[in-house]
Amino acid sequence: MSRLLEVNPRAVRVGVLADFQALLSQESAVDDEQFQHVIGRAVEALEMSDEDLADNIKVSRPTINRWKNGRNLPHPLMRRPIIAWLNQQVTAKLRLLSRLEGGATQPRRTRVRAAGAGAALRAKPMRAVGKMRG
Amino acid sequence: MIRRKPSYTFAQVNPTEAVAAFSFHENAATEHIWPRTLEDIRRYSQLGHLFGIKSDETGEFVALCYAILDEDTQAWEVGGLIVAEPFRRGGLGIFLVRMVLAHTFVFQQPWANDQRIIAHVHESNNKPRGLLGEIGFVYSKPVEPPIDIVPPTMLRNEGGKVIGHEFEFPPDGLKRLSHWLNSEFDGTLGTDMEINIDLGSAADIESLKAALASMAESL
Repeated sequence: MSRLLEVNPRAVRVGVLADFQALLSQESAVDDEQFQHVIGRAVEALEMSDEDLADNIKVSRPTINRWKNGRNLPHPLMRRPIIAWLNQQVTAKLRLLSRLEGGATQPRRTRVRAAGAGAALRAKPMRAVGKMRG
Repeated sequence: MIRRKPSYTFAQVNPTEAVAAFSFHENAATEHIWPRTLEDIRRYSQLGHLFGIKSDETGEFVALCYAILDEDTQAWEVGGLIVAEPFRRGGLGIFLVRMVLAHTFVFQQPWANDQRIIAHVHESNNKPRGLLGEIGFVYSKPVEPPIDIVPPTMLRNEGGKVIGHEFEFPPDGLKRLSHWLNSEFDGTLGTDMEINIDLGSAADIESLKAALASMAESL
């Protein structure tokens, strides 16, 4: 039997972004494996295409693909500004979502299956929203 | 009134600039250069392989160059260098190749992935040899592409062949490159060219310098 939960999609987005920001904040984010993971997650978390990411970092699309596969990773000293830039993008998106949340009188709610709501539940979205307001 | 120095910007060529880049390439190409089609240039720019220098005043290209990884040979080829006639012998070509090399080193770490960095020069084209030597490239071997794939505009030798010379970028070249970027380049070229470097939103020249120095020191 599947239970149905009500999930705010905006809160899910906030959760995904907050998770990604936590990953970016780790000191180990510049390590080979973690950086590869960061690039893979960036596309999903920031809702960017590989092309968007490549355009902003000014590298080729195949480069982004190689980074995702752990090949031809940038020098560790170049990873820091890339991570800082990704962090700026996350912060900007979170601010935007926070403003939208603040302006909404009736947040739209979507019914999803409990099994598919794991990400939202894990991310503790409401707590994340509260943090941003502070 | 103080006259401002003309300024130029190094950057990756955006796909929206492909037609302008092709036009520049087509007008400046010689019988020593493998001619690229508009589709080639469009593809290179879409893939982010193409770099250029544009005049900040006119917005026109004054130099172009690409860096492409050949997956079969695992070699990065720095090639297609073209500098507009009025800007030749002014250091712009050397600057562009150096920046493309620096960009490739810090964003791709080719040597950490057992990849070589090479350049090709037509056997009868002497002009780029001094430039490549000054940057640090050393002659590697002759190369002969299958004649059926060589564009008809390219100069053939007496035997009807097109022979190229391959140059390779060695470890000593990286040390020289790092020294140039960290100690010699001051944002200007010659007496009156101001140079800007656009590395996009996520990187800056200081990080590039530090990464290159770190790579050179670890050799």
